[in-house]
Amino acid sequence: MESRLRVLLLIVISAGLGGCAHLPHLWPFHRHAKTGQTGTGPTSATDTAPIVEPEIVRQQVKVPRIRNSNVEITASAGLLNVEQYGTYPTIDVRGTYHIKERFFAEGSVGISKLRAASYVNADGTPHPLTSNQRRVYDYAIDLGYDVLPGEAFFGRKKSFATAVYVVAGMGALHYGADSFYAPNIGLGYRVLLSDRFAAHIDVRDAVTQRTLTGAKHLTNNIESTIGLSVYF
Amino acid sequence: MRCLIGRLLALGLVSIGLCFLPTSSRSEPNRRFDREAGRYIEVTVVGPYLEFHTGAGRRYPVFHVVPRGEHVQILFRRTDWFKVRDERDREGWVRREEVEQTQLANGESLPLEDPDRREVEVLPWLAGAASGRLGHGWNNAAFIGYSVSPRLTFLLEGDQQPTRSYDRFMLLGGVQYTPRPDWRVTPFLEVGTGLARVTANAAYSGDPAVVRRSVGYYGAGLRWAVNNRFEFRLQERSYLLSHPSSLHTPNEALNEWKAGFAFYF
Repeated sequence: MESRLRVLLLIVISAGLGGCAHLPHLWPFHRHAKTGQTGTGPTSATDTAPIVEPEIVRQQVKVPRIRNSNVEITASAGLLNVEQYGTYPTIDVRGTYHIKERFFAEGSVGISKLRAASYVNADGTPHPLTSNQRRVYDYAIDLGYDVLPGEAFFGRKKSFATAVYVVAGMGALHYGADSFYAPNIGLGYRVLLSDRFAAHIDVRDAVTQRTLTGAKHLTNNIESTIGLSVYF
Repeated sequence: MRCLIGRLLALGLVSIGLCFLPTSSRSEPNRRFDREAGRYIEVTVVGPYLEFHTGAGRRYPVFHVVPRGEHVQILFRRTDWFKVRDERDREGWVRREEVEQTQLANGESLPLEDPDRREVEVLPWLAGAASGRLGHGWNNAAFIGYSVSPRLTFLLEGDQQPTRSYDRFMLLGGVQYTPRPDWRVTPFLEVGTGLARVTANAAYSGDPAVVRRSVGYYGAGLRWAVNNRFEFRLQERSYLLSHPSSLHTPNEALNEWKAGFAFYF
């Protein structure tokens, strides 16, 4: 009988101790051992520190900036045909911003000069143009699209990236002390000579709705130019 | 004797010549890849491969492929294409999606700057052009703007309206407010003021007469963001042009609609 009681008591004690081991929040000594406060655990922070301190110095990697080259400045020269007044040399400066792979926006200004010319005034009298009035100024703001990207081969070893592009936009022509609203369309061919330089051939038609005499007439003013551009 | 001197001279010349001959042990690697190592970003290909195109576009043919694990230098960027040089000094154009599959020496991916138009700290400026009908004539406009926040932009605009009887130039300054800059197609409101200079054409009225007027305008429009940097615009404006020289003349009211584009930089 006594031995049965002993066995029962031992079972209860062992079960109770086992249960307490799984409930650390009820067992204060367990907490002390974890924080190193009791005599059995590590006594200070120096005991937990590794014997050899690793000297890790993070190397700062300075990454060079990637240069963007989306802006193109073109200088070109060619011929401008002012309808009813003839064809004259012209020079153009054009700024292009490449927005997407095949898509760009550009603005251009040009200057030319007519030879001796005159217009008939509203009252029927001929009116010769002065030297200032014979100067032709034009500007245009266009959107362009590379329709045919390709390659041009010079000899067996040399090749250049090329593109045929179309542009369309609006602008104005100014000559004879008058200005004309001039939407324009055009076609161009670009040859990338290097990473920095490109050659251009352009044909553009600036359309106006009236003439210098005031008559309502659709005029086509065609400009053909050859140019060299630099990418920035 | 002569023969001996001749042989000695020949031997001397040959030995001097040999001294100037480049030897394989003295020659050093002369690759541009090595010479310009610190100048450009060098990355390791971690994707399957990099395709080198002959030009900056998908339509240009692929002429070379760099396999995984090799190093390349990134020379510069044009739109979404990168000019890249491999270890054998070959250079080609690689598209952005493939450049993103590379790693720097420290294991990090390449930081590609591709800011959005709403990030006004990076792309505060915008420039563009528009054209449309102002009153009874066609009008061209070019503008430049500065965004102080994604919603608020200050604009400076130049307009030219070449008509049959006069040319109207306007220099305008205004504010544009975009209530929802996060929308791809988003409305905006604007208000501004400026000066107009109207020059009568010599062909109709003899000597050109110049009239200056002050202008006020308000309007609204739609912006359609095609990508991170570029958008199309459609807008309607109402102008009020005053007569500063004559107080009794009523103001002239004009309506305008125009379409255009703008890009951010």
